[in-house]
Amino acid sequence: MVRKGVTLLLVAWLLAAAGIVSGSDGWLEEFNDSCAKTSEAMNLSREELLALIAKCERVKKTIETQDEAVRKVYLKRVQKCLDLFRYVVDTKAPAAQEPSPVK
Amino acid sequence: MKRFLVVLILLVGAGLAWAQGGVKKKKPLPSEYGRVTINNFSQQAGMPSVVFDHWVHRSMFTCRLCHVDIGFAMTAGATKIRAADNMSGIYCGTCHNGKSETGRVVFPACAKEYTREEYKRCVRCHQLEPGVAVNEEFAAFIQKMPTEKFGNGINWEKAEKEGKIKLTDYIEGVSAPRAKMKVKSDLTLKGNLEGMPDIVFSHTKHTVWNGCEVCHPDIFGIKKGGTKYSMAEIFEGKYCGACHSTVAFPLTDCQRCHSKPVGS
Amino acid sequence: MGTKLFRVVVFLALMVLLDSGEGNALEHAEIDKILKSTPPNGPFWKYGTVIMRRKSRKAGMKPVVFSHWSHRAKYTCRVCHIELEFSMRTGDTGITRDQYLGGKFCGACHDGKTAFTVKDGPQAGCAKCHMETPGLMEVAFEKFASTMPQSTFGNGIDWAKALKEGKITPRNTLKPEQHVMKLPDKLREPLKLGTTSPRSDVIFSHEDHFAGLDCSSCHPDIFNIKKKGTQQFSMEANLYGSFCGACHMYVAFPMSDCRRCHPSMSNYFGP
Repeated sequence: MVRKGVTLLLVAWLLAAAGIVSGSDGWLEEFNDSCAKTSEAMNLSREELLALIAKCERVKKTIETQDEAVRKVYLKRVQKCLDLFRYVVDTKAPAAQEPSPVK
Repeated sequence: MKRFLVVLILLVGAGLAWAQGGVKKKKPLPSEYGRVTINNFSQQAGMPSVVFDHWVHRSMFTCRLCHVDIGFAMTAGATKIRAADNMSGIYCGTCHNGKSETGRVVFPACAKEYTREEYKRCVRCHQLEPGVAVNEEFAAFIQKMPTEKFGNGINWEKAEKEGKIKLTDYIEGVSAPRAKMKVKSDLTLKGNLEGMPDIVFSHTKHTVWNGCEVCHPDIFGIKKGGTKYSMAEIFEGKYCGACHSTVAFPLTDCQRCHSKPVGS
Repeated sequence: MGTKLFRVVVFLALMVLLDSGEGNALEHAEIDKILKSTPPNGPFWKYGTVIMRRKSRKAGMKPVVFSHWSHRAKYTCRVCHIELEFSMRTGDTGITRDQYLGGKFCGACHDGKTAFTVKDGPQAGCAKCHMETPGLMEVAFEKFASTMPQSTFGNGIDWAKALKEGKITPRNTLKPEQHVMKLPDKLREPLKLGTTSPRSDVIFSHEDHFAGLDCSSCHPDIFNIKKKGTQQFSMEANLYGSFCGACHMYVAFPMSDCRRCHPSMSNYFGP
């Protein structure tokens, strides 16, 4: 019984090692789509940014169900995207100010 | 009573030894600048700590590729890389996997079992002693590069402009395919101390290697004119000091940033 | 067994205690040697001399004897210690012959044009640095010092006065096209550093120091810029090479000249 379990684990590990993003690749596409937009974040409208944040939140939930190696890296990456989008939304909120003394 | 005295003396001694201040820190040699020692789990596993030299990788990849796409943290020991991770193809294992996805075959990182011969591969990172070979490699490398003062002594910006180094910013299957950035204009930041020249900050120069996420909002979560920060905090490794005290050009040359003459 | 162990541990602990710690400050034994050789205990011409022997010895050459006095007259501290990247501690810079032949460090000026060359050949001045007869340096020093205002400490030369009187005009940068940052106005006022007694209060002048140094020469390694950030700023720490002692024990005027910083004290330290 234990041997079966161990073999299953090994097989799963091998599969995971073989192609790190195994299983449904749908979430990866969504992740790439949203996080690729970080370089344009400043030029997007508030609505677009909020939509991206929602999309990232969804992807984040899927990532949390993936295996450890994927989770470890992609959770961090999606969090970075989320944080950036939220930051841009926050800084867009008031009208653009002139750079004032940074103390 | 005796034991208490012994412990007391040892504690006081240790305290005095650490209280040393007011001396110039040893300046790292150009080949040592940007060296990071990582030891979350190495010693527990019976391996020497990992010694990572930034200059080797800076000449081939942008900051963003490793620190955003591959997921490395910005401080030593914060990523908590395990050998299993490298063997699974993440972190170091993204490129160090014995295959040639990035245009060159890179020696694989970590293995569960290895022969005595293979161990020589392990010690390329888990260094047993400061490598002489690395210093020679660095000397050969810097010969071809435009130089500058401080840090690595290499003007990385100029090196890229002159085509001496070509930085990869995208790995298929790892990086999200990003569009080219339209960059924000330069900023002038006013310093704390009256009479100190203003700082001219170039978004262009920073985003070409970092994108947005490396700095925002983890290092700079500030709104323009919102949070105020001081030079003391920068020296401690916050804000600009996150990079410009250990990897990017150091804070030694004040004028490099405080470059807008007073009154202009 | 218990007492033996105890004694061993106490001994080790005292060793840790007496060791000046891992910082870059000189070992007490080293500083004692310097104190014994500095005026008024040692000759003027030897003050500020740095001996570099680590790599020379390996190459079978005599150690390099570098005199600060001969260079101070021509260049300010920042030229060598910032622009040319010399460390402020012997052995740290790691100068090799390859490097200075390639124009780094000593070779930046000792190229046959600005100063005598380090290269081999008929003009080779190897023995000028890898010194065989230090007595020659004493002769050169006497000649130089005779033109300078006198002092009783350090080199026996009042460098600050020499600068003010224009007897020396050291260059502050090797790159004339690059403007060197001016001292911010706020820092021109002298600072008063309080001590245990008002009579020993110190007056510190940023302006006097900035004439030859850069901000990063002292900040933040030697002096933290946080308000009241400099801790453990005792005289003993100073004498043993921390804080002011980093320079004012073996290159700039030594701290045997109390009055220079503690204007209300006397210099008397005899019986």
